[in-house]
Amino acid sequence: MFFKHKHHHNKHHGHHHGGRKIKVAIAGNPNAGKTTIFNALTGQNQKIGNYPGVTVEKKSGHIFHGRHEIELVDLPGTYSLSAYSIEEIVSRDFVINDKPDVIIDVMDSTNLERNLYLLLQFQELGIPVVGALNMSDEAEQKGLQINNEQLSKILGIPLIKTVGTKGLGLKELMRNAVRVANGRINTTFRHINYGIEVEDAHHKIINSLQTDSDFCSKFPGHWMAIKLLENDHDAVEKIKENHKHSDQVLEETNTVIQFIEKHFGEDSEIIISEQRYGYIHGALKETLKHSKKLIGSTTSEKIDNIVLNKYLGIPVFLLIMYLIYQFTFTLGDPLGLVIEKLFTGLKAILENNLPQGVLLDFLTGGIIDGVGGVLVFLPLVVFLFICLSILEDTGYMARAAFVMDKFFHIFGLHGRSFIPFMVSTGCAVPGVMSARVLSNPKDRLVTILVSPIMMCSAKTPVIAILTAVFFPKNAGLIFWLVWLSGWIMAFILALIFRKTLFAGEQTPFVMELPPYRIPTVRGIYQHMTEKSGEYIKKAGTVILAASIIIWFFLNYPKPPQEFSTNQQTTNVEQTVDNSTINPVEFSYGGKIGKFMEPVLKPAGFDWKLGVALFAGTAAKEVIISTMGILYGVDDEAELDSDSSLQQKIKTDPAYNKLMSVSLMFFIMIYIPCIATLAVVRKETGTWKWPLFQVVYTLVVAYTVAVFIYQTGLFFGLGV
Amino acid sequence: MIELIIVFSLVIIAGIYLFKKMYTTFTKPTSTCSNCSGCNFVDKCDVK
Repeated sequence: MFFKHKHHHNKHHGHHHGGRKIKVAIAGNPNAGKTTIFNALTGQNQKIGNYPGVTVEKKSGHIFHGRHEIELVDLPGTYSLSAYSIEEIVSRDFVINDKPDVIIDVMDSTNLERNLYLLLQFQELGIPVVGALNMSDEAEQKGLQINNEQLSKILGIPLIKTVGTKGLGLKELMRNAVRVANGRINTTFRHINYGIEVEDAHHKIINSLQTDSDFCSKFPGHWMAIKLLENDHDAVEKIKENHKHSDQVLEETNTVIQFIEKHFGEDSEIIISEQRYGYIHGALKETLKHSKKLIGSTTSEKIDNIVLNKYLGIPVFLLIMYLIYQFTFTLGDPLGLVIEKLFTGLKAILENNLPQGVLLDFLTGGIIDGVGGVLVFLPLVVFLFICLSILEDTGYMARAAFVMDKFFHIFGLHGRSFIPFMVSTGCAVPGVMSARVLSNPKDRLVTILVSPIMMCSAKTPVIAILTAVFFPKNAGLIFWLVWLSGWIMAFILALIFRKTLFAGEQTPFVMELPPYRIPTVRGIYQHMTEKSGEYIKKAGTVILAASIIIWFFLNYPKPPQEFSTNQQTTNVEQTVDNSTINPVEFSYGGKIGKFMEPVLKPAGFDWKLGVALFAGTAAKEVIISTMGILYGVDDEAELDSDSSLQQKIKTDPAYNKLMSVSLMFFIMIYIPCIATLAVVRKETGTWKWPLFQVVYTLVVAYTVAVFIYQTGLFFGLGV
Repeated sequence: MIELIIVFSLVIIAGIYLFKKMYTTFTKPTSTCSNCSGCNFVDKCDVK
């Protein structure tokens, strides 16, 4: 035997951080070989008693390992740390109250899925853990190959293969337990992402728990919040007994649980346990191989065989995204026309009832053209969000991240970067924030720098109008291609950043792979109302205010008297191309556009686009508003005020297919909106990165746009 | 004249609103539960 045993009575030793006395608890599932290992470690030197107040047997013993005196406690065998059995309650109370320096979780290697479930809960409790992959000989006989190094990296804890019956691996196990107990390895992570809805609920409960600081110093807040979400009756009792504001905490808990259960149509406890198993499923998918191929039997496994297939995985993801854009356009476009008709009607009512003048011009040319132009795309954006939320709620999004992991690595990105990328497809602000899922600062920074290049709900209307005008037959396809090119550009830039600014190693990752689930109507409805609410609110506040300001800058100062009739003159200020003078050119906005025109010309953009792109740095939808207002002011265009922005763009000679492609790329890449820059500044803690982002995106966007336009011209396109 | 006053007042209000919005965007934390992106790094969250 490796260890010197010492007979000792079982008294409380307290907490010994970095000291010579270390308290080690041995835990594990029943029949995982826990007692065999405990016996092998302690020999005959055991003290047998009961846990206070219950008839559960408590075994403890003392040994010496090097200079360290170790107190070993054998916890009752449990499958979980829920409160269904007295053993479970005893185990977790011991861990919370006695705070062992380290837990050795003895796992049955032939049944890792079930055994890891307990281990994850210890990690959630915030207790240092070492894993013993026990019965590893039996696992090998059964044809199970466990890549314990990889699994250990993923879980962030030492995992040691042991055979308790033969005493194999125990020395190594204790050596690691001591290292963890001494704080040389940090093993306490909360790996599992329970999904937006549950995480949100979790935040809310933590917030209410934190109203009592004494309680929070006694019980780990994150763990307690999860237990409450699981409807754990023992946790509820603890709140009632110990929390100053127990009523409020329990009320908040009930509210969020009700929300979750309505959203998923399932018990919150089941959702949480599925997510835990999902994590384990994901981790084992990468680290456990069966030499005898097992064929999946459940529906989830059958779907996964296709969706997670090495060759089919990525094409399936691309196909799903293509179908989403097709669907979005097919349904969103006609509904958009209805909204457009409403605004045209409103305009007609105003024109018929108000006298000609600055107020009418302001209302129709400023507000309706500005805000209405953006609201027309509401159905499109809402349908897109519905599709994305269905992908999320069914559990497919996690699979997509899993499949993309290897692909992401090629570009020096972490597999988890998929989450910020996908979130940015909706909006870059939460996208940048969700880069927090990346624990490595370099991974996180690269992701923050490139994810605003993704298509977002604000770029959607701008790209949509261009595809609708220039590629009406293939709008869905072109939109999908633009979305895809956003990803490709982000990958290329990430690779460049990884090779230059942020060279370094990558860490492995696990995506939770819970079983597939049919989304509830209620859940979809919630997403729909939330997203459309946000879009309408933005149109009614920021976009409205921006439209008013832009209207002012495009209308004032008015042209001098001699130009106001819009006649041809011989004035030296006449435009170089000898066309009629546009009154906008005299305005502040017009002057900015004209000033930028020589620089924008190589990319195919005229001064009007210069104004729109400049204004669009505030928020990308403003590009649409500005164009709407510009055409409203520009009475040179021989169009009646009823014609839509699409028709106006179509008849403007400055636009053509080639230029529209160069413009789409420019819009995708150039300067993130102000809200994104603000969040990048907050997330990185410095102005350096948002400023770098402004400069680099502008340089790349310009270079790409000029390249596309000039290459197109060279090949005779766009004329 | 009244029309001009109304319109210019609205322009000024819009300007102040945008300025204020921009100021708060850059100074106040944006991370709230309602736009929680579901990251599991609760300890890094501003909400706490």
